[in-house]
Amino acid sequence: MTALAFVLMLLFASIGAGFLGALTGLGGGVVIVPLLVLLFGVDLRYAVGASLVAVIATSSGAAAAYVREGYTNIRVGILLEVATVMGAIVGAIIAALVSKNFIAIVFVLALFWSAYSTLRPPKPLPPDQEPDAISRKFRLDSTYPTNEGMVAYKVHHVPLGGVLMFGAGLLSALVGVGSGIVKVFAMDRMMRLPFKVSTTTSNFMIGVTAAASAGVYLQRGQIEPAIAAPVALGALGGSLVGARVLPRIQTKALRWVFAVVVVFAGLELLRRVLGGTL
Amino acid sequence: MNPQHESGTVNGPEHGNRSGPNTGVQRHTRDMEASLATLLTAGTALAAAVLFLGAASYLRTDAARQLDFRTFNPAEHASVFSVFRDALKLDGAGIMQLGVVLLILTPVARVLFTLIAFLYKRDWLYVVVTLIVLSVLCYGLFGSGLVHEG
Repeated sequence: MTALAFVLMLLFASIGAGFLGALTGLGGGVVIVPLLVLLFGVDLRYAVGASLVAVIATSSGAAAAYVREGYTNIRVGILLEVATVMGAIVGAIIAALVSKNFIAIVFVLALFWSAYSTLRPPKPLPPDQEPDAISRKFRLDSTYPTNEGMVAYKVHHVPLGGVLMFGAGLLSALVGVGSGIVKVFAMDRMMRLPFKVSTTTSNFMIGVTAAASAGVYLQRGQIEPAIAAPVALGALGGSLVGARVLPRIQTKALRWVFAVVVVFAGLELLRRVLGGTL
Repeated sequence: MNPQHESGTVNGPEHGNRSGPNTGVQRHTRDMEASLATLLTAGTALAAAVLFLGAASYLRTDAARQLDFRTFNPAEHASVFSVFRDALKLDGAGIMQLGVVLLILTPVARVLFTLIAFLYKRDWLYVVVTLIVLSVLCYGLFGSGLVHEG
């Protein structure tokens, strides 16, 4: 393929990926990696590098708005980033030691989890107002805006959250996704932050987490500018448009489309791994 | 968003006697959030502009080049410093790579900014927490290449 065709087609495909990522709340990574590998014939190692760069772009772009609106719990974000960045460095080191097929299989599992959680969003948990010693020490309890004004919440199980966040960072670095699902799972389910605070704080942390591993990949030559530039630009543009139309559309049908695409991509990746053609 | 109401709900009865200074801290937090948001927007916008310029200039000179990324073949090991040096040559690929590095540095700048904000507030606990995050990030950005040479 000529550079002109490659860059332009990749740009448009990434706009779609960023758009879908913003509308389903899963970010672009889970779509970008299979897009690059399956449709553009890009080696998985380049795909992971480019996807991480796109993840940073969409995360930073969206984080600005959430922080301004007062949803993001910055203290929780920074404290848990200690775990995610360490996980990211370890993940980037592991990525150099394991085979491409291993990375692909981990990625397929992440795809299936993404599809499942898109179709079955968890039921909201009631707030837990029990005080927590670690949360108090780090002053994590805060408030967030709702229709009824500012509502206070308490944060729990910080060590467990930290362990899960280390895993989220590791997964993010290994397969080139934001790992938003793992981060939201840790904060919403385990640490009992309100859902909106969990998703926005997760987004806040994703950029820093991906920056840690992207630095490693840059030095390893895994970030090819002719791939990363159109992917990052397209994903950023698509996610900004997606965030704008999100409040005005019904996403149920779209979630099904997303889940089907993701499962299909996962099965195709699996077929290539088993056939030795990845 | 009413800071008075907010400080009441955040701190509750257990810190009621400190509501005066806390209101100031709350306002300070709001200012910090606004600056942080501006920093993220500016960093992303700058990186996107550089990426766009780089891609345009790359396509002007290399549009007909045949690209093949089917096998991972790292031609050279880049570093944050070498990227800045290469971008000065003003070729498309170098400018695109600079845009990539600016994107990567945006969250790093965000961490640096929060470090300064915590220092200013003399919030030593979070100064330490932020310093740990920053040093791991710096290892990823600058140090990891030394370990994985070759």
